[in-house]
Amino acid sequence: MARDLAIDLGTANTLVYMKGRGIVLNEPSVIAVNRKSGEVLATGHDAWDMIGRTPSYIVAVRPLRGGAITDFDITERMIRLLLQRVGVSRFTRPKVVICVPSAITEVERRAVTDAARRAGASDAQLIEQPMAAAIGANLPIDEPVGNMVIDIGGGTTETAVISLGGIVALEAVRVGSFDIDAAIQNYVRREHGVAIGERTAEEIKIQIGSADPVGDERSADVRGRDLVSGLPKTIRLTAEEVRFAIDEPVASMVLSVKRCLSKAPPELAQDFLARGVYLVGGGGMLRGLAERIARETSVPVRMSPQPLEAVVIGAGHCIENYQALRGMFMGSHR
Amino acid sequence: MGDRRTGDRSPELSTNGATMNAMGLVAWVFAVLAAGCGSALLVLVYLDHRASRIDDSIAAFRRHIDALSPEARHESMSHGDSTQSDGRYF
Repeated sequence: MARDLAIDLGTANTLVYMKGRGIVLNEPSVIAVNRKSGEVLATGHDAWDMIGRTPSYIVAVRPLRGGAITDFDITERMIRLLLQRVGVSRFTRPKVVICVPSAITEVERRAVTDAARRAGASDAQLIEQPMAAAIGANLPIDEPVGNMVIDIGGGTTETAVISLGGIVALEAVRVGSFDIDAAIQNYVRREHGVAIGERTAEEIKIQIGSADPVGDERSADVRGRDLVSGLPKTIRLTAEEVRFAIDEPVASMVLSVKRCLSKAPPELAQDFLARGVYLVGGGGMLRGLAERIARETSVPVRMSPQPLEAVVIGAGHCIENYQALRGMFMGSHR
Repeated sequence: MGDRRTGDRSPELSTNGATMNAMGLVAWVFAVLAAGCGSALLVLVYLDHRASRIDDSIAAFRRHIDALSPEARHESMSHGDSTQSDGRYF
């Protein structure tokens, strides 16, 4: 009998939690496919290393964008491989809880559950990412107090107010840390006439990116291809330039948080001032982001101790207490 | 001819007819009473079921909230703590 699983099927990373064991898999949501034969050549870290470096017959893609499945067949194959790697076979069919963005459409929901069932799950249930994140961040959501969680992933930013085990207010935008990478790529192309890949843009974000001025302002040498000559070229980017480049997606994230705060009932809103709001997700690790949200909303912002794993740990808790927490699954009638 | 046929009816026959009518009436009364009792029983069963459903929903909500308590989450959290993140940042 297979152990039941919780899957955080993120735009950037996929994590799998196995009942009774914890997180058993954590790797990038990337798959490399042979364009001619359709065969899968690599997944996860191996496929991630191939992005932007493949010959023409190999394509390394992220099958999810903005938390939604853009390529159903590839996603199904990716889920099938994931389940195989954690021991699921045609004779052992586990129950699966999958974390998805709260803003996905009915069609997208069905695409995810169908992909999981076809990949070998006996039952596939969906849970909203901010709810799973709040459980995984160990917020006191069982109490009648306002808990606010901001989950910034690769493709989405979701802010939720949670009290007594349910979502009170929710705001989601399809802007995430990949949009920050894209903004850096566009800026370097526009202002310096140099083309850089998405992995280089991500490195720049990690090295010198910030949403608000931070004490240690650095600059970095960036290598790319000159758009005019077509030759390799090195340019120097400052932290201030990067901050300017990424201001638009960062401003969208902050605005989404403000909108959610304005939707919260007054009784719960006062709790945020005392308890603060919690940031989870890899995008939340951008330097200066917590400070900027705090500055613009006048609410203290705290980073979850496990920002990358909070969502799958929360979903894992739901799989550990499947019957008691059934009401949290999307489409259930509580 | 019609009058003669009516006049042919014997007294025994008319007594039997009256008895039949009386029995029909009694059966009808019993049927009404049985239907009434049945309905009352159904109403009682429904009310009892509704009361137990309310109890069930309270218990289910209690279980739901209890499953989200820090004590209930402790084990799942400890599973998460034991895992090493690969340090990648997206």
